[in-house]
Amino acid sequence: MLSFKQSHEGFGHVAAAGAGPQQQQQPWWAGSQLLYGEASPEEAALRDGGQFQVVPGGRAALDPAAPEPEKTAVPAMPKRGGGGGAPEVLKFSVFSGNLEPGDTGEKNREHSATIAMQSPLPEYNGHFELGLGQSMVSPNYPCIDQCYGLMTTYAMKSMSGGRMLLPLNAPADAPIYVNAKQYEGILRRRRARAKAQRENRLVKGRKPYLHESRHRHAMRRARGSGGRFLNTKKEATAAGCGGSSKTPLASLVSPADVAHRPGSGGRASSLSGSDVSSPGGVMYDHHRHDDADAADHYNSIDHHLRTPFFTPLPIIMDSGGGGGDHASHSAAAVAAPFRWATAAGDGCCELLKA
Amino acid sequence: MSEGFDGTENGGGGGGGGVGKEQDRFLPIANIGRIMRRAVPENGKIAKDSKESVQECVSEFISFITSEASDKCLKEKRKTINGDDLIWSMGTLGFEDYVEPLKLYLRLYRETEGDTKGSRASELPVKKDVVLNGDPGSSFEGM
Repeated sequence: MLSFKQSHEGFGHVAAAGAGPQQQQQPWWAGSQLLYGEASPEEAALRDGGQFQVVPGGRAALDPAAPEPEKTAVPAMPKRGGGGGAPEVLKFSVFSGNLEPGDTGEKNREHSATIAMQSPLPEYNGHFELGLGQSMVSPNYPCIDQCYGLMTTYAMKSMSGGRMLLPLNAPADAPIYVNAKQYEGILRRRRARAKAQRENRLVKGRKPYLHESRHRHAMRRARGSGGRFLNTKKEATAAGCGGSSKTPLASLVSPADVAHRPGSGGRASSLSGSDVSSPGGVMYDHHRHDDADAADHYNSIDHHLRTPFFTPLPIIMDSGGGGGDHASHSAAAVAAPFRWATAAGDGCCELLKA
Repeated sequence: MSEGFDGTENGGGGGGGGVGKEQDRFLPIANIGRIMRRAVPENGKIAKDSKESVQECVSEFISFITSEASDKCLKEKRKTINGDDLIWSMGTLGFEDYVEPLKLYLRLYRETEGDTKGSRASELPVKKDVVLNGDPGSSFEGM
């Protein structure tokens, strides 16, 4: 059993700002210790790995604790939107739990009753570098007799770990505690991932691109100083005209075609990456509520040049906006040609500035 | 933050004749980057490995919620997972705070989109749930 005791210091500060209250452990868990594994860059190079087990407990006690997150959920929301790094951290924490940011603390062996919880983001980043399998993030859920943490499973280890989920093994194998409601779901997902591993359907390593022909085309394109593609201005203008003319046909495209839109990223990665950010920012200044739609339109224009499939405009509208944009869906669809032109124009302005 | 565009960016999902398996297991990474960007200041940048990490987390979360809903449909001998099943499974797995906003969201969505095609309506709520979970703040503001 290998584990890493050091925690990410900078991340601890960010997470601690919005940390929820730490729960006191019941005497029944006094003997157990919670160990977290976090790979620093040096340890990542050594390719060491950690193993965790999931131990259930105190399911019935969840009922009196259930009302608590509803009260704490509301104040957690305004805390998001801090500095440059904080939004991602807090966003991740909210995503993994009931609107509560992650809780990070130093591990203290002397006080076994107090469990130090660590936000999953650096943990997962370390494991991602190690090339381990997918990880399942348990939520930060305040509970009297439970604590929460990160569960990372290797496909082979998850099979062996499944057999070590007894409370008797808890002190020896340093278990990870998860939400009792999610215990069965986590085990089910472990079995599903193990099955996918046996059928060799898991993703092992990422390809730099998906299609060889597109990659070769991108390598042949002319690049200016800094490595960006040339002639992007003409492409944006032409895409604007093409998009407008083909708007009536967008509704005929099936939802499956949505998968074609990101394909352009593999072809012109630097262009799509850098250009997407700037128009989004510009649109945010002028049309606050249409930021997501405008960004999607710009990407759709970019995609239109590279693949023969039409852009599924209504789906873009839906995926781009939140609930508020929902009510004005029909109006947005009617105004689509105008937005295309606007997005293209802003893209041109941004390209001229660059 | 570090510059996120060293080397070629992974295209994420893609159709056509691609043999990449990540298309079957992950959401398109470009869409995830756009969602993440909404929570970042205008001059902020998102590293590529950050997008990949969130991509894997989001995809795993979808499988987590969907497997619970799938179990429910198996017990009730139904073949189609609809939005209500997903909302129920989120409540079962401890995400009660999301249930009410998602119910409101689904109701508004059905009012505007209608229910002309059953299978299509059952697919889209999944994507909407992803968008909503990715940035709950915006959804609450929009409601």
